[in-house]
Amino acid sequence: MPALIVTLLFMLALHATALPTVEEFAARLKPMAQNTTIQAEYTQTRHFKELDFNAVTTGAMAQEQGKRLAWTTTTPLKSICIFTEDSFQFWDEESKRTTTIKASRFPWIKMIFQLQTNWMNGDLAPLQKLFQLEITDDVTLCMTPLDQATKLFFSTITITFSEDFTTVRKVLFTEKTGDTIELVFKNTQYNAPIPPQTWRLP
Amino acid sequence: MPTRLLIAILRHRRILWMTTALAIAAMLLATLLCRQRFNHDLAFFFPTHSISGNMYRTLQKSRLTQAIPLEISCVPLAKNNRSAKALRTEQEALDTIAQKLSTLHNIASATACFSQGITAPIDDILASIPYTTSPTVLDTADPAAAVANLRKAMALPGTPIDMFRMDPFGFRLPLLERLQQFQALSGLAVDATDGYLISPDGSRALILVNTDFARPPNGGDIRTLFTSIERTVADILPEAKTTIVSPLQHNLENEMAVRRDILAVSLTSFIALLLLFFLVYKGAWDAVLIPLIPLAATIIVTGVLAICFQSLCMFIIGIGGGIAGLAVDQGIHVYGACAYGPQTHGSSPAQNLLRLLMPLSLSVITSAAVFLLVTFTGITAYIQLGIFSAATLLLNLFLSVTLLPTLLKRRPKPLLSLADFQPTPSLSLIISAIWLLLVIAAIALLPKLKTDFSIRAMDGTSAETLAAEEAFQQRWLNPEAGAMLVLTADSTENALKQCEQLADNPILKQAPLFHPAALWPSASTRQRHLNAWRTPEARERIRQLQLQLQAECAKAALPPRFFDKGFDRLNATLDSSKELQEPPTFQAISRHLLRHYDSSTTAILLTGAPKIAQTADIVQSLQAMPNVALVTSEAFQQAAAADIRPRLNRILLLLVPVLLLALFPVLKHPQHLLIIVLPGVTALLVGGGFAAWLGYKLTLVSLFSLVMLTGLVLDYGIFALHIAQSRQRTSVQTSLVLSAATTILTTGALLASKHPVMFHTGLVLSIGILLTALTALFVVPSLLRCTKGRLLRILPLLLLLACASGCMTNLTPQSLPQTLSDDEIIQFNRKFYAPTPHIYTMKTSYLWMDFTMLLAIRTDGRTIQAVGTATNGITLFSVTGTDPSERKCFFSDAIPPIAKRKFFPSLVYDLERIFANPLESLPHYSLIYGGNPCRLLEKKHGRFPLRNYQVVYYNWNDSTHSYDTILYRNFNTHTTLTLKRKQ
Repeated sequence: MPALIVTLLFMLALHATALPTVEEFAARLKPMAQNTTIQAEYTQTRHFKELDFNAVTTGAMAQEQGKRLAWTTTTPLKSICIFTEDSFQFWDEESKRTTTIKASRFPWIKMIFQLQTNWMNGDLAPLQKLFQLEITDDVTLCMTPLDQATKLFFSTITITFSEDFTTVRKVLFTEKTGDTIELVFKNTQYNAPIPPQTWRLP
Repeated sequence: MPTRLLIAILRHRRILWMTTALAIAAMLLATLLCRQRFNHDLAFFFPTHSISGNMYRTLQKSRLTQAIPLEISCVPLAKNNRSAKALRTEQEALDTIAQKLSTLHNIASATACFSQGITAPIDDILASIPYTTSPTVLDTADPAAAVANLRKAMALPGTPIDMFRMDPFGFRLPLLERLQQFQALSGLAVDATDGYLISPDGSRALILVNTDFARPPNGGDIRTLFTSIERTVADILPEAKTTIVSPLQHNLENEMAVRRDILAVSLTSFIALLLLFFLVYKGAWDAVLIPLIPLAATIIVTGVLAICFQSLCMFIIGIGGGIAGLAVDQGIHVYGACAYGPQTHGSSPAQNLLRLLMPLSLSVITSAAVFLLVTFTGITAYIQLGIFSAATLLLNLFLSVTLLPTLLKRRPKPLLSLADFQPTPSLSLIISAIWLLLVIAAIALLPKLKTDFSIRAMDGTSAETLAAEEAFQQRWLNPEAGAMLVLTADSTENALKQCEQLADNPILKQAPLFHPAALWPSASTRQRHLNAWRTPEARERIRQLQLQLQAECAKAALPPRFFDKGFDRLNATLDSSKELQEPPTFQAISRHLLRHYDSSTTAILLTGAPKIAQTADIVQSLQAMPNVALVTSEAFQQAAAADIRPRLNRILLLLVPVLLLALFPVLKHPQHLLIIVLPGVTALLVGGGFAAWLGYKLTLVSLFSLVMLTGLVLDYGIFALHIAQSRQRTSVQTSLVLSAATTILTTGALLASKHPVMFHTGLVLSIGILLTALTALFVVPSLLRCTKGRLLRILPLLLLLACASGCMTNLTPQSLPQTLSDDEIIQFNRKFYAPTPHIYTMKTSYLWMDFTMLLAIRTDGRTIQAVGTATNGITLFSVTGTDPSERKCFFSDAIPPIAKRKFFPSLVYDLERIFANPLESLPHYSLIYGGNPCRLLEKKHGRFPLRNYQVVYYNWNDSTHSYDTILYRNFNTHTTLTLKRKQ
């Protein structure tokens, strides 16, 4: 009898700490899709395992849901890159030149834009086609690429959401070489108007 | 002599009967034993040494015509609802199908996944750089720029930069561009997730099956294979729908069509002839011998051909029915002469036969001669047909003259006698007027006659299959998909070397080109690159670059060893004694673009879809490369048109002397020649006019049928002359009507065929014979009546008509004041003679030989500077020096001696005449300007028949200040230059 009680208690405890399924997780993320704009500051830390070297980049990002996405780097090199479904534009202060790549010529632009949009607005359905999704804790989603193109570069991509599931807090890319890229977001704002100059390249 | 021979035969008739019976039995047996030699291969229809023939044979040798793209449509493949697990299950099913298909008989390989074995494509590309790239790239490497690019890449969020570390100078980029080019040119509208070809909506998958038939497959082989494929797919995916779209389907349907149509044509022809004979030769059973003798001749000749030829085109058996129908004519004439007693003709059957022997033999000899001339086309099918027809006609003549009279029963009066057509003056006037109107109308319409030399015009594939192919193309290919070039070689190394040569071809260079050697070059090229990377100078340059990069990294606050990883790898490759094998990433592409067979290798090259003008240039340049084919319908049409013209000219040139020689015994007066050719010419003109009016397109088949028709129609001319000269008109006229009826019925029976080769042959022959017979029977007597027996009187009228036809134009004349035209000419001259460089494709033609080169020319109106390059990139000649007295000319040793002797000495002057503006007015020199505004249309020097040269300019382009096409003829060297401006 005591053994039975212990077993039942253990099962109850197990039930209490069970991780949500992908569907449940997706349901929790649904409110994120209601956001029309997202703005945040970010810090990107690249860790080169073999060299034991970290390279840190800081900047800001702005997204108009489903329309366009801007990453503005402030240190160590000032640069701006703007993604839309049709093109990718990059400007940097050093060369003061803008490079434009059309999605019609490089279809992966569209795919990258779509992916970034998907994880920023918590839409897991499209991600399920390209990644094996695994919930590693209450707020963390681990994505293992299924398609060859992504597999070539990344072993996993881990997204950590805020506890209230309103924002992405951290994205960790683990490369095949063991190097990592960690993107940490802070001061996230939702549905605030994005200044028009954000989309203008110098 | 013929009388003695006839008497001898009559005496020994039993020997003749027995010999004929034995020959029929033996040849029937031979045909049955050799029936495997008969097949329906389209290769029979292409000349041996021709661009189109080479293209078709290359395609056949490449076995691309035996490839099977297999489409599998299945509900579980619907991508929208599938999970990663479902996706893997589907991929496994596709792999299993491909694996099972590979084990089937006659299948070499089947592929569902196109990226098997690829694990690290970037590593593959980086490792291959010293093999695929010249070390000259080291000279452009800039360490400062490399670090600057790295810093930019590092700023991009979530972007992996290991690639930059391994290849800081972007040596991989040309290879990546080539891979991208491959993807773009292949034009596959697929979602290539994990290397599987799945349609973007996920409802269909594609498996590529390569067959491995030891010999060209027949219908039975193809049907068995298709059934096995469908069964294999159904076993694994029972609910799947399989669609096979393959060139093999064309083989299958062509063979089925010919087999079915041979029966239909033979039956139609047999029934029609039977009905005719029952109606005409009522109850005369010996009349059945009339068609039986040509049938016997056909059987004997078929048997002999089956023994003599290793491979026989089945279509000649189909046409054989028609030829037997032509041969029936001789029996009809012999029957008409020999079956009736002296009370009918007033002379004995033997005398009648002897009288008829001359026109009968002449008609057979002229027909046989024309059929033999067809052998000069160099087209195997027509060579066999020419021999078959000529032999059948000659053997039938012999049997009709010798065997038939011995088997006939004498009758007191003819079973059928058509009234002698002797037109009244008014009727002859009406008939002559109608004839004249028809001929005038035909001449007016003839220029509108269209041609279709596409391979489809000879393809008997059903409309449903063609529509299914079209839909398949639309489902799987983007409209931007490139065109395919196919190359065959005796080894992979040679195939790769030739790919490299083709990539240097200046004409092909104008469009993007992807070839297997673009990723993994030939062994010699790889070794050359590697040796160059291993030289001390290159190694030192690598070391210097590494040191400079370390310094730049230190400046940018990066670890100095940041890029060492890439250098270590490069040095390891260069130090290794082991040769690198083709990396899996390249193998995944080259195993589809390079196919190995027992004794040959096929390489597939992809080029940007060429425009029509570019296609013409490519087709011309392929003349020197018989093992390369451009796989587009337009290319085939252009190649066929280029091939057919000289061959047709050759036949027509030979036709005139051969026929004149054959007709020499009866040509006692020039009028006789006119009578003989009039029915045929009328048929060709009126038939052609009708075809133009109805929008009928002249195909390769109808073109050669026309040549055959030329031989046949002369028979009617010969008999028309015989009627005009003979006292016994009725029996010959009756025979002529019957001959025409039987020929039209038998060739008309070919119209029952759905196969275009047989249908068009039947159409041309039956309409042509009908028009010829009508002219011979009604028009010739009417014209003779109108001209009071002097038919030559209509000759000036005919010549006038011919000349008038040359004056027909759609242009409206315009008048222009002299001052205005002078201004316009000055303006034009400023543009045309401006010192601007132009590039043309120049085709030089001497007799039937053509030679194409690329011409870069610059002229200031007075002097020229020019460079001519061969299609393989060799400089053939150059002219430099602005002043004619200081001019330097270079002629390459690569120029063939005959061209060096006949053409190149005058080339510089030829080019001057085309492009320079003559300052001095020469005698008999004329410049013709026209158009709005005025531009140069023509230059000529000398008067006919002592003309020196003539230049005709076509399509002035005001933006480039040049003409699109220029045609030049040097009447002294008999050389023609055709210049087409490069876009």
